[in-house]
Parts: sequence; C-alpha cells; structure tokens
Amino acid sequence: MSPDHAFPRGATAIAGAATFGVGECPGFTALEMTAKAGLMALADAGLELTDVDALFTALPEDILGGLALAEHLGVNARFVDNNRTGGSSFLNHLMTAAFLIDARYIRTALITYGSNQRSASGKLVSALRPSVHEAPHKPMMPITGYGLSAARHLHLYGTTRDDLGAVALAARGWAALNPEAFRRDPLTLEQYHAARIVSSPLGVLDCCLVTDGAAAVVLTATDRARDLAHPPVAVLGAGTMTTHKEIAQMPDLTVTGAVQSGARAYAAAGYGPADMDMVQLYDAFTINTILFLEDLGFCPKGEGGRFVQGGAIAPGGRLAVNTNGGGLSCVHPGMYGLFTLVEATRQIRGQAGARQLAKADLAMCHANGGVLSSQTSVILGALETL
Amino acid sequence: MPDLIGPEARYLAALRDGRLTFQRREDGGTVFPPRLVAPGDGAPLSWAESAGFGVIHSITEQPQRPPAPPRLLVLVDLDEGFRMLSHLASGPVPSIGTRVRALIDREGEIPSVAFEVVP
Repeated sequence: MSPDHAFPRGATAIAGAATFGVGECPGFTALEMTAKAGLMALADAGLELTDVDALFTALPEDILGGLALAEHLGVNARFVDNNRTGGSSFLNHLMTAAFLIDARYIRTALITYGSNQRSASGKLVSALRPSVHEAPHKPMMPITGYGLSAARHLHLYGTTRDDLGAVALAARGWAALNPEAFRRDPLTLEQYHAARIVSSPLGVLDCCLVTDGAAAVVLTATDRARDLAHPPVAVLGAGTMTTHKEIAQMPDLTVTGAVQSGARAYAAAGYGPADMDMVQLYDAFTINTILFLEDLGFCPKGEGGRFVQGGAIAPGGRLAVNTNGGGLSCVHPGMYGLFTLVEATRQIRGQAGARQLAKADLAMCHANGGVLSSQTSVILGALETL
Repeated sequence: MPDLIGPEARYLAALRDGRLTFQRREDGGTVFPPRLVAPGDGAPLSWAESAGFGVIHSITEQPQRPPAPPRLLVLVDLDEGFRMLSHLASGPVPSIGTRVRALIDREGEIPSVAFEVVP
C-alpha cells in the first residue's frame, strides 16, 4: 500500500470556520486577531474553548507564536504545533491534526492565524531570510523568485502578460461577488497593463494584496462533527512536498512540488482533478495560479496561460478558482493558506452568498510556502463524497 | 587532516581569494551551494574551481525610483553545471540564454559573484 493511502480519508472534518478583520483591522495585535478568529470558528462549530485540546498556528513575527497563543487562550493543549513552512503552514497543520485525531490522541484541533501587517507596517511581512549566496545581491524576496519563474514560463511556453492579466481579472471578478473582499472595484485588462512593473514580467496587479486578516478552522472526528452546528466538511486527502528553499535551487522554475503534493492528495481521496467542483489556491502572484493549475492536473504543463484565457476561471467560467477573490483581490495578510480552507468550507456548506457555486461538493485546496518551495494540497468534500 | 571549517566558510574564503568554487561528486555531478555531503545520497564531495562562464537561465528587471537604474536579478547556469542567483550590472536587458561571465566582488561584507554579458 502506498503511504498516501495511509492518510485517514474522511476520518476528520472541518466543523467550524471563520475569518476576522479581513482588509483592515487597526487596533488589534496579530495574536489577538489569531485568537479572535479561533474563538469565532469554535462558536461557528458550536464548541467551547474548553473543548480544544490541540493548537496549531504560525504567527507573522513571533516564531514561538504557538506558545503565545496557548497562553493567551489558556488552553491546556495536549499538542501545540508551530510548524512554519510559509503560507502552506496551515494545510500542513491540518495534515498533522488529521492523523492525531484519527489516532485518538487529540479530539479538537484549532488551526488559527492572523496578521495585522497592513495596519502595523503597510508592507508584506515575510519570514524569508536570505543565505550568504542571495543576500549580497539584495533580491527583493519573495517577488524576485516569482518573477524569475514567470519569466521562464513566458520564455518556454509562450505564456503572455495577457494570460497573467486574465488571472488578475478573474480574481477581481470573484471578489466583486464577495462583500468581505478588500478590492472589489472593476479591473480591466487596460488597467492591468498600465500598472507599474515591480519585477518583470510581474507588475503591481500581479501581486497579492497587503491586508490584515485572520482565519481559523476547527478540526474534529467526522462522526463527532455530525452532531455539531453544521454538516461536516470532510478531509478526504492531503499531501505535501518541499523541493527547495531558495529559488536558485528549484529543480525546474516552471514545475512545482504541487505535482507531488496534488498526486498524494488525489491518491488519498480517491478523486482526480476532473472531479473537483472548485480550486482554492494560494495566488501570491498571478503566475502561481497558472503553475498550480498545471501541476495539479487541470491542464497540461505549459498550457496554463491559455487555460485561464477568456474568463475560464472567472465567475461563470469552466473551472471555479478562488471564489473569494483570492490573495490577489480578497485578503492577503502574509500567509494566505488557511483562507483556502475557509472558502472551500463556505462553498461546500452553501454559505457563499452571491458567489455560491451550483455544485460545490469537492474542493482542491492548495497552498504554497517560500518561493514556490513548499506545496501542500488538501481535498475537502461534502459528506456525500465520503 | 579533516577540514577545520565548514563548507560555507571554505567557499567564502576561496571567494575572498578571488576563486569561485563548487563541489563535485565522484560521478561528475555538481553541487552548489557547498554542502558537507552530496544532497540526496550523502556521497562524498570534492572541491573544484569554476571558470566563471555561463548563460542566463532567467532574468527579472526591477525598475527603481529615478534616477537609479533598474536592477537586473538573474539565475545563471555556470558551464560546470550549477546555478547561482546573482545580478547584472545595469544596462540593456539581455535575453534568457545570453552568455555571461563572473565578476567576483571581494570587497563586500560578504564576498559575492556578479555577472556581466560577454562582449
């Protein structure tokens, strides 16, 4: 049996989900936002703080944030996980929590994160620290890494700035349907092309937002979640892959570890890309959406640019991608990954309002960390998909 | 006699001396940045010196606030088979595949390798 099948398919489920302070949240610390989102997710599940026996977090600037959160909430946790793999951290937390719940070592995992980077500094808070090989060149990271990847994708596959722009426009189209999204004003391709270049071929509108925001999910056994406030959103499969830390060491600038993380998640879930009703992925930059759609099997390698053309991933298109508006137009507090799980949960529950998909039973959630370094994929499904 | 310093310090000392070094596996594969053993299988490594020539694998241009010229960040594939992140002196933006050569900067706090287009 492949180790991928050892993942406890459907044994755990998201019972509660919440966001807090999306956009601007002045007056709150990152820790307070993290705690608040966690409390809201518990209330959403119909659970109490006293039910929590495991905490999972990665705070923007406190590398021991897990300890700070345990103290702040006063949770007597049997397990605290502060694992940091960048924006994919929280999907890795979910993997660990699923195994621990299935093993009956813990019962209720709170996975929560918040950042006030917009109100506190107005800049992207990044945990990336350059090596002696990168530092003397003063590369702006992470965007330099993504610019180098995107330049290579354009060179090899004929991907164009119009293709990158189609990703930005699709995200904005979804955001227009989401009252929580930070940037909802219409965006045209002309405006996209007029935006300042930051690291070619990427311009300002190829970059995720710099916002405040917090998100949380509560994970518990699926059988227990059936008796809670909402229908369970089952964790059907998950997988992760790390290929490098610094961009110079990426084995192929146009192929990410999502190839492996996705394959592992599909194998565990027993579903493939064609079964997915939606993809919620970490669009730190427009090139990410193109790379991940290729690497997660939604189109062949090199075809991602053409795949997203013509509104294909916008509202009403052939594949629903980032239905909240994503990191490009909804929220990006520095590490976006957890928001993919919250949006998929809302869609699967039928709580997504004007952006609700007609069929929303299976979701591929995918998050990225570092400079395309860490990739983690999670497949969520309605109870009927078990 | 065993090395008294780690591979990173040894690499930086050579660079400070004006030599760009990398490592080789016995089967000829190259390793960079320097490590204790070959990544993946732990095979032994030996040191070698690069001639400093290569091609641009990818390049990104970063406009600066005037009058500063744009910055050019590159990934260079050295002829010996390893890849470095670096920068080019400002000027016209060369395309991917352009031939470049190393310019060792020994004066910085950390010695480093920039590149220039081969005329």
